[in-house]
Amino acid sequence: MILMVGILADPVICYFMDYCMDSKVDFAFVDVNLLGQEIFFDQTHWFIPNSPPLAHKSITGVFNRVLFSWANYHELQKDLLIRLFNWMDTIYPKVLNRPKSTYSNLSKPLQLQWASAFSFWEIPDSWIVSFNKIRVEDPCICKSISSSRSIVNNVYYQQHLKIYEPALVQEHLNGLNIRLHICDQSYTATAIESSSVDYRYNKIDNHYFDYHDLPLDLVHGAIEFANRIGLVFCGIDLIFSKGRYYFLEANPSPGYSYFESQLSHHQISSSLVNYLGGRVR
Amino acid sequence: MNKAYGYTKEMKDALLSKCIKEDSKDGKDGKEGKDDICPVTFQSYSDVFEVA
Repeated sequence: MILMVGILADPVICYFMDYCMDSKVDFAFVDVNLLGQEIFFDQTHWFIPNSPPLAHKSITGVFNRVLFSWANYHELQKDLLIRLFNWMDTIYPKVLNRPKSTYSNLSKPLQLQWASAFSFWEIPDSWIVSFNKIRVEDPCICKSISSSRSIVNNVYYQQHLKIYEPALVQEHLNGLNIRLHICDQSYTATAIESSSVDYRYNKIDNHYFDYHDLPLDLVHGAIEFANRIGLVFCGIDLIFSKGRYYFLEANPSPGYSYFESQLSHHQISSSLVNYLGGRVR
Repeated sequence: MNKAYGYTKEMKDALLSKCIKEDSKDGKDGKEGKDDICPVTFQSYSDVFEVA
């Protein structure tokens, strides 16, 4: 039995649950918005409406999608969520991903530093700028240094720019975007051809396809990198430019459904089920 | 039948249609959510989650 932890409004967890339903894989959904109101747990069981008590020991793995602010939750809800984090960090045997492991991309510079220890990919020239006025001479992209989403863009070329908060400025690499999803020892590489610098915001002419040209030493190294930063499941953003592969970042809670829904297979969902010990009926 | 405790596709569809319905009332085309009516909409969440 797989435990799904997240909220109903998250399309990624809904996509995975729909896949499990279609594949006849057992699961239970903990909508954390209902924690302490309709959903409870104690040391031995989960209590979910319209379902029999669910023993913790029957849970083979947890798909964790708690990645939003819960500052406005009431006290009981916060208390239960903190306990649930502890269960996911220390007790459940398999969790994608454990909460403590999802903090690595709170700092993109830290991730870049870790990734720079590996020689099979390049790190783009990068600068951290804050409280400064700069003029970008060469084409660069500018994005947040944290996990906060920023729209990557290159509009600052040859403009004077005042930067207040720390921002990450990187050389602009023209090339092929590649999203490498890793789940344990499995991997799926998807290429994205796009006319936009940030393909996530291009709804017009993106083209997605399976990418089979990644060198095996890079794939094995990426798996080792993910393992070293504690991410069993992650989405690594790469770009193939100037004949080299460049590492951009590793996402600890990848929105993999966005990519898989563009393809004709369910390799990533299948690898998640396999890792989490899902039982097909 | 597999066990799917706490979730049905209808629950998801109901949340989605609720957001679209509220938007339609507001004169929108129903394709985009509006944060102040439905605090978490598929459209707005897709911006956050789909390519996290």
